[in-house]
Amino acid sequence: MKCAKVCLFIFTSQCLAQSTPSEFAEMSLQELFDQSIYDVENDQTRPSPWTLTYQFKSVEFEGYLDGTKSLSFDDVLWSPPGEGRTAKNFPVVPTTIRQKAHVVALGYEFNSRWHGHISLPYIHQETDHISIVSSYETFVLETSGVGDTSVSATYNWAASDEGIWRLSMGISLPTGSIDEGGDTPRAPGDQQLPYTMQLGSGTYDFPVEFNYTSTGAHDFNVGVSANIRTGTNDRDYRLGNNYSLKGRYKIALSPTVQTSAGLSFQYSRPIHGKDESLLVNAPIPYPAGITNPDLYGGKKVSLRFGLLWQLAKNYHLNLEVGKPIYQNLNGPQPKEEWRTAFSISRSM
Amino acid sequence: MQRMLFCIGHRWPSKTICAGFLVFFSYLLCGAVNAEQPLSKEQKLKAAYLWNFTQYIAWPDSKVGKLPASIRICVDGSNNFFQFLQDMVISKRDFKGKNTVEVLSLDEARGCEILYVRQSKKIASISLDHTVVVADSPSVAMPNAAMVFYQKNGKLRFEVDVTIISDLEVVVSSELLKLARIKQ
Repeated sequence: MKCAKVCLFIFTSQCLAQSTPSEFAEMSLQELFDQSIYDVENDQTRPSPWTLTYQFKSVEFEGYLDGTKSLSFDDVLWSPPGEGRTAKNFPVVPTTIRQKAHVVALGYEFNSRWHGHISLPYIHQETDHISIVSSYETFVLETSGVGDTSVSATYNWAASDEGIWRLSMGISLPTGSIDEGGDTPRAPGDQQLPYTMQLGSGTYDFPVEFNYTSTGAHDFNVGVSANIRTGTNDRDYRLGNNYSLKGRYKIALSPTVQTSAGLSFQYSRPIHGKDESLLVNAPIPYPAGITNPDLYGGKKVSLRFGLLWQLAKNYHLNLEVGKPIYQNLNGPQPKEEWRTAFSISRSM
Repeated sequence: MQRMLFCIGHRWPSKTICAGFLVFFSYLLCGAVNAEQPLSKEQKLKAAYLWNFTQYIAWPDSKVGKLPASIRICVDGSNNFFQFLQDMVISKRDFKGKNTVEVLSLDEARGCEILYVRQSKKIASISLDHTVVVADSPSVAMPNAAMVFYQKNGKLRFEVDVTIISDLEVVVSSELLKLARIKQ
């Protein structure tokens, strides 16, 4: 009998869920504007609110900049006894830094206004070095593992048919390791690796983004974003805040293929605090530039090109390549060469 | 219904039969209610927009929200759509201070302020002076359509041809234009 009552409730609920003429008549213009055309309860063609995305990101740093001035490896490598030690040369010099991330993200559309996202990256980093230390003239350090988990919510506000404003706020949880070690010339065996080789920030960070996407005759978007970091981690530092301004213009080549070109400006602050375990007992305690927290951050302007392809009804593929055209770094600091991103997403 | 109440109020030899009857009855009832509303949500939204258009457009002999001018919506649509829109208008009868609205089928209309068309056709039977023609979709070839419904990202949108609107000597409120795609 209980079962019958439950069934009765379900069937009756389904009946009541249907919208009546008077319910539609009560809707304001804005409410009509926000309505999906799909019947939530019955229409099987309605896209699922779940989206699963896999993204592969890669970035490579090579060469050095001090401000906008280009430096050779010889300029940055300290070569005693002919050369004096300064704050701008080091006994160990990273030459190429390669960072790759496999990101799995899950999105959920609560309604037409609110979306939620959670993403987890798996990071692999590799750095080539040269040094003046015997047996470590050239060496490679690698780290890999899970990075910081990001949870965010996005609010869409369609002011008119011409565009959509989006505000996105989230929290980055410190699930990535900041205790990665490796064999460096600093001492025998494994030691704590520099900031660039760690997998996480170690702090609770708050990414926020505000952007406008035009849906009118011209398909473009502009946005500002920031990653605000708080407190200090267990190793007494926090990474610098990042701020960026981005713009992108899309051109449709066909109903399923779009290309895009964009420009981004990024400003990053240096690291606040320091990890004492990276220092050596010397008048200038930094064995490499990447162990000095002041030699992080700066300004970059990058050019980006992309391709968005709707492979099938529920599948989207996205490719993007970026190249800095201007860098003004707190240096000497490894300069960014290029970055790429590939992603495929599907509605579940 | 009496049979169902009887079922609940008395000891029944087999509770299973009673439960089955309850479920079957509710299912049938649900089906019956649904059978009266086969319109898709998109069609219902179009009907709701049509009603809203009457409140945000001023025709030459009226002002938006000022005079209770009678606005005729002529419908070239299915019976279900016609009925849905008419029920909607009836439910808004107590809506004071706004235009009063009546829904007419194309066969019975002599003139109308809004004409909703679902198929490309010549409308010769009625006067179209100051008539705002609303096309069901961009595939409806009506050269004098002042407004056209279209879909974007799973939502219903509409385009307003301001040149035609101007020729019709009607005034569309800025509130409505704010949500529209403007065709010059």
